[in-house]
Amino acid sequence: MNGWLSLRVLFVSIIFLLSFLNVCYTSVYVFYPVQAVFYPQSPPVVFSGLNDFFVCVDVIRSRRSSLVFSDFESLPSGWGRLGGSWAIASGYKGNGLLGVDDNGGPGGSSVYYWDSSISSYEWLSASVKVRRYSGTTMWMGVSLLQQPTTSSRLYEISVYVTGNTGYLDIWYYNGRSWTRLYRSTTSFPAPTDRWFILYINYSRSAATSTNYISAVVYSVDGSVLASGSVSVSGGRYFIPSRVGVDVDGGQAVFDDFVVSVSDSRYVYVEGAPQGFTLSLYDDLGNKVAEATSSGSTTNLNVLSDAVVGRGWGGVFRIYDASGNLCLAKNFVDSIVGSDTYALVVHRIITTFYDEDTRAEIQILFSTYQLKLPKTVVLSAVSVDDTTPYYAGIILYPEHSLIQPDLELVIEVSNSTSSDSLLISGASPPAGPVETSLIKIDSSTSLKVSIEASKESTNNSSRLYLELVYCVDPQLKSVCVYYPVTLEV
Amino acid sequence: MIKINIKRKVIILLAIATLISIVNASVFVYYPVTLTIRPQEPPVVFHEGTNAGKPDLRGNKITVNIGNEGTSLEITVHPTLQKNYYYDIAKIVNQDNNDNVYYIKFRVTNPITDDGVVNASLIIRDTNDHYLIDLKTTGLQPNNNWISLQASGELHVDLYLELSDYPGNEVSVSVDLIITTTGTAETPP
Repeated sequence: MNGWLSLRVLFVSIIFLLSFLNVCYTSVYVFYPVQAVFYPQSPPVVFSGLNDFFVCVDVIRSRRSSLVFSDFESLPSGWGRLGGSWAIASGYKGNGLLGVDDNGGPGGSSVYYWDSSISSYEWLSASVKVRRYSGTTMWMGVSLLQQPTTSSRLYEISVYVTGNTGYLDIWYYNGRSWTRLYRSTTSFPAPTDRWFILYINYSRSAATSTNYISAVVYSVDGSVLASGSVSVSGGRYFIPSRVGVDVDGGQAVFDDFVVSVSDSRYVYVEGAPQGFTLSLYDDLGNKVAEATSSGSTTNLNVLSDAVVGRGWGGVFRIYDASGNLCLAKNFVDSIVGSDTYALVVHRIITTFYDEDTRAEIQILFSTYQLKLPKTVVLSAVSVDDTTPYYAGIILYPEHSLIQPDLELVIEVSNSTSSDSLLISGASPPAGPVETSLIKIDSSTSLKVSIEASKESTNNSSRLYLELVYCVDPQLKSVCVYYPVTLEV
Repeated sequence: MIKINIKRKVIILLAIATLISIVNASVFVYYPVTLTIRPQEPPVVFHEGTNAGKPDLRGNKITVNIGNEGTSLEITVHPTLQKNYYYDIAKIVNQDNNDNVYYIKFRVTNPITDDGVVNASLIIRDTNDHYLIDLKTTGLQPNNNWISLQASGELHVDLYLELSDYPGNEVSVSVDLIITTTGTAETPP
């Protein structure tokens, strides 16, 4: 009995094992072949645009260093006179100031002065244009007065004319008598119809109680006719408190009067990139000065017209290094020697890669302003004559660094339609945002424009975008995506 | 008595041994087996997608050929540099009238090896989900579960290609669509 039992167990075990093996192989698999073939094409749409260009936005006056200026188009307010008669007459440009000496001022001269104190300034420049109106032996120039009285001490820096010959003179009046401190050894022709420019530097050393006065007489073309300087100390030292124009022994016309704490022979422009040409025109359309930037401050020589034009403003014309006009800025406010202006210019650097199917854009803001007006930064151009495409821009905020102070508008447009994305760093979009798709073909490109502003120069935003173009804007049977990075 | 029991056991064992080792015997025994094959219309077939035959880049056409009554698929496209997305170019349809569910996977048998192809994928989409089939690697995909295809259901097929260069005049890839009736854990042959 035990033998039969063990045999049955053995037999059942064999049958069970065979059944189990049969169950594992009862699934059915069907195999369908799939084949895909790709024929790569050259890009039918490519990026195009300037690789490195500037956007000139504005010219702003950042500093006015002059204390007083007048073009004498009318009698200025806040001035006084010590002797003489003073009236408006024909000037170098527009009107000028005609001074007629009547011996009624200090030492028999006649002075027309700006009645505000200059005594706190240890360095000054003064510039004036003068012309002999009448008189055979006379002085015409600038007076530095100790006080605004007829008995005041003064320094007179002047063009001395005798007959038709002129010299540079520097005189001291002590309240009773005159002492000539300097006369140039060089002389120059001085007919009545000739204008001169008298440029003066005054400085002093309080420690040594010494005044330093230097002067140059220029012709209106800028050539130096005479120059000289003196240092005055001891009993002849005093601190001037007033400055004005001076005529002695005849009649003279004055124009373009400027007193400044810096050199009034120049208008200074900051921020112009190297190679830019800056031109300054007066309110009559005459070119006054022109200079090419070396990359630092550009000096425009306005010696011949220290109060540009008639004092009614002028025009800056800014040209890039290729000679293209970048900006024309009209000023209605006076443009005066020693003024400093800032050129607000942003730089856009666009680099294309991968046969112009990938783009990197950098916006470098001017230090004077962190706002870029709408500017075309690149174009998408179709080089395929067979098929129109429909293109737009997608922004991926999740792959971007968007600073909280950034405000950005990205616009896509062709000649007839446009769409834009507005991105505010304070509340950036949570997911991808895109413009609508706009048609482009071999005759119509897609322009991508950027308008941007931010508040701080210390941080940058970096945005990941894609240019998308599709053969069919609804079905989107095939769409191509080109990467674009934008750094602001 | 002891002698009789041992003898019977030996005889039985010899009989079993004979049964198991019958293949090695000089005698052959033939048992009839009847295999009945009833061909069926394919329950799962390829269809053209919405954009099959639509314009491709540079005046070409997106070509989709369905063969063998929907059991083979050939795709021809004309991509360019960077990312190209071909949308809804084919479908996989469950046309089984008996409401059976089928399960599919893919096996890339001849992958893309060209250096100029950065990425290449089939994207298999249903209403709620999508599955990426990497055309640059061999092996069964998706790696985990089978994709279920409900009765009367369909899956959409997109194609994604990213090129960094022109990898020659033509790039090809071969894939098997594998269909089974159960979402089994076993690996198909």
